[in-house]
Amino acid sequence: MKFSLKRFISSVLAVSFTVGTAGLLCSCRRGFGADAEGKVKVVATIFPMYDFAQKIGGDKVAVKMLIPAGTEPHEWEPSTNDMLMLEEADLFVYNGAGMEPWAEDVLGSVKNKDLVALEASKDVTLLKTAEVHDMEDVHDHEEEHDEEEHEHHHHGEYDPHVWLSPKNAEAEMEAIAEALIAIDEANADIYRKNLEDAKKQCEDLDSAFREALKPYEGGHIVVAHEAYGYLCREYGLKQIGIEGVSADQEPDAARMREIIDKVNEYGIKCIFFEELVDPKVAQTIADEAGCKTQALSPLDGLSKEDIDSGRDYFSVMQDNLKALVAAFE
Amino acid sequence: MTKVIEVENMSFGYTRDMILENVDFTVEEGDFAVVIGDNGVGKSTMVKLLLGAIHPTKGRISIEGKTVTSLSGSGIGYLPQNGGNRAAAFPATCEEIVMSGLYKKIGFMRFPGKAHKEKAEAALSSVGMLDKKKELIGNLSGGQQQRIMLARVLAGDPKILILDEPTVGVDAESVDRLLHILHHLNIEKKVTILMVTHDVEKVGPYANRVLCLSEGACREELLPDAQIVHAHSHSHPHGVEHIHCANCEHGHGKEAK
Amino acid sequence: MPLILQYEYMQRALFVGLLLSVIVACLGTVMVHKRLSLIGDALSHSSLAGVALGLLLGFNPIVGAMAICIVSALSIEAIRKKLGNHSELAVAIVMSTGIGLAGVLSGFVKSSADFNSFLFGSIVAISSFEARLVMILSVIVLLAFVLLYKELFYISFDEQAAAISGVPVGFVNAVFTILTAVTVSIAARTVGALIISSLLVVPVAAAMGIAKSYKTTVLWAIFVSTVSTIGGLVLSFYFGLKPGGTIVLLSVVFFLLFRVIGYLREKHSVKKGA
Repeated sequence: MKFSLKRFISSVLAVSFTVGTAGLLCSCRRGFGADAEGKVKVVATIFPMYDFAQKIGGDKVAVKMLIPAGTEPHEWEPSTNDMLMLEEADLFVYNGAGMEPWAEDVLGSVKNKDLVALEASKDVTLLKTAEVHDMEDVHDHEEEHDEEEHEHHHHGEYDPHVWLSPKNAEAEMEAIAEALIAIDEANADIYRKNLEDAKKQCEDLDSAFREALKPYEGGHIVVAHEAYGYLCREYGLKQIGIEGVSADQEPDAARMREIIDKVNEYGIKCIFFEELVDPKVAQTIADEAGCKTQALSPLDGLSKEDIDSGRDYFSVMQDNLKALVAAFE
Repeated sequence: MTKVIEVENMSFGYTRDMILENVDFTVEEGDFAVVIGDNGVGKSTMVKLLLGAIHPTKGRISIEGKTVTSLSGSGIGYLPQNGGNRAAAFPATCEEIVMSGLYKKIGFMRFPGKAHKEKAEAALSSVGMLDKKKELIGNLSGGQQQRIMLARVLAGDPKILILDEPTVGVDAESVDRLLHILHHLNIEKKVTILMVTHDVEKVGPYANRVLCLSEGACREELLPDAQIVHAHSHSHPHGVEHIHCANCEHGHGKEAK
Repeated sequence: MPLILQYEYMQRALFVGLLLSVIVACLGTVMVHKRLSLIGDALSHSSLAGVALGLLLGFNPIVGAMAICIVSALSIEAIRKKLGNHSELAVAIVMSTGIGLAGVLSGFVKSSADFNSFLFGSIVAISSFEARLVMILSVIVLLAFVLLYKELFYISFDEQAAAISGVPVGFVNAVFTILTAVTVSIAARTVGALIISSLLVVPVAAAMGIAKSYKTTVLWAIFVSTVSTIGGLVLSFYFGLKPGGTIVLLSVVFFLLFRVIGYLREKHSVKKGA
């Protein structure tokens, strides 16, 4: 065979590309590193689960967050590396209530027999999606949303954003503590102590919300998507969601008008948007009704920068409270 | 007579194997030249080279004294093979299509005026299709479509006309009509015509020059008076230079059956 | 004043929708006849790679999307020339590359934003900046389309013959490729990818069912495109239908309707002729 320079060059390129890509893939492999040795290995699905597990476990656990910030949890699928991580883990914490519809499938295919799976929301009284809506306001939309939920995410029935009420957060942390104690008896006292601290913080947060929002009981908030059902129920607010329970739907023109009319009718002064989603719809409504916009975090995705800079459940919730109060003032 | 098309010692191949090798011929002003030869000897390639769509590997092609370097600027009127087929699915009226042949006269980013419209109508009537001017070209028969395509070319008043197998897929009446029009252009308007065809019996009477691209060697023949010529068996007294073209052996035997 | 015009967001939706549907129909006529019907799809998907690249390298994702759109469109044009009769493959190849690239790149992006929400807009939520952008774009595209109408017609009909006649084919193609790329990236951001990729094709396909000339093809395409857009918005406003899907379905209804009309007319004329 004749030596072909072209062929030679292309094979060199192909080989180096393959090696380079493989290298890149290896370098970004997520897993429990060496510093996880001797700790309880926890895999948590979304940020609140990650944060709660961290708070209860302290330095006795190594926690990994499965779903990267900004990814829609319903649509996320585990990669092979994620599966490897689960094979290594001791505890898998997921929110449940329909937030991670893929969780059961994934657990079914994990061979790790020692893995404990915990649905953190198991002790929370769940709200049906229909109840999430402000009944008198969005009558004809309920059915529609329910339908869409079934179509898109199969979760439909319950509102999964339980952690947005501090009381529910407390319940979730209790469940996590229970699970950790069962796995790691030796450090039970530490977990109990951490839980006590966290509970105290939850109670403080709860009373701060109750006190600050008391004057605005029965008030309406306009939010990007209807994630605040538990928070509203707890503190006597009513939410008007621009979009349904999931954040990925385009609003229709009639819904926009309905919301604008309501904003004018109730004299609402602020439209809430979520930082991780383009605020264009909130902005359009705000422009139309002449009000301002403000970020309100549903906490399901916290940006990496925020996590790195030490933001946690409590600090974000405090910000949310400030935003809510500012909206009513 | 001025030489309009000059091909000098020209070879061409897409790969290292040459399709055309050392081709030499000239076409003079007012000639009606016919290029004949079996399928696969490079007739269509020759047309592409003359138009400037592809470039000689070796040698030179010049049109009116200028070397052909690209598609644009050669100023040739070109009627492609099965030109009508392309048109069939295109939603345009005959008039719109003929107007596009006036591009050079109208100019870049300019709009056609009344004179251009009249010119297009004249071209349409010269092919006997004026009554179809508002018709969608797709609704016409193959022969009619080709006449529209010819009208488009004629609207531009070309001095040189290259036609690639214009008799293929066209009814007999349209062929006669086409040849009649071409003859008229050739005689009255001194338009130089080069036509690739296999239909030498029909075209022969109008042509004064036959270029034969065939297996191994090609001959150029000058016909002083219009007479039917069987190019394959013809050994010409003028004995014009021999043109070699390689690789004619493959494929054409099959075609012959 | 009718209720629908009392809201600023609807005024903007109708105005921007109208402008975009006109220029997209014009661009679509060119693209369909160049056998590049799916170019809208390909470009809007490829632009995701631009967003990912922007996030990775730290420049504005929208700029990234536009840049990738232009590069993709020019690649389609270049590949199309090489492929001859199989020019439609160029679109598929570039689309695959774009999607693949977006997939790989997004694996490296550690940012948190919801990509799609920033890339794809909604016709009922158009900012005034976007509205201005669309206005400028529309003027440029319309001007180019009118000035180069004759050249585009010629190139669409027979690119080689156009070149022989001295049409600057390369220049005209480049202008329209870039205009299409910019339009797709701006329009995807403003009204969503679904509307834009459908309106590039369906109205033209509908128009070809009944048009009796190239000029009327363009005019009917504009008609179908604008009526679908306005109709879709009105239906969305009064009946709570999703605007994007409604607009697209309306244009498909026009397509079916026009094909049936074309068929009946043909049958009628055959009968008359017999």
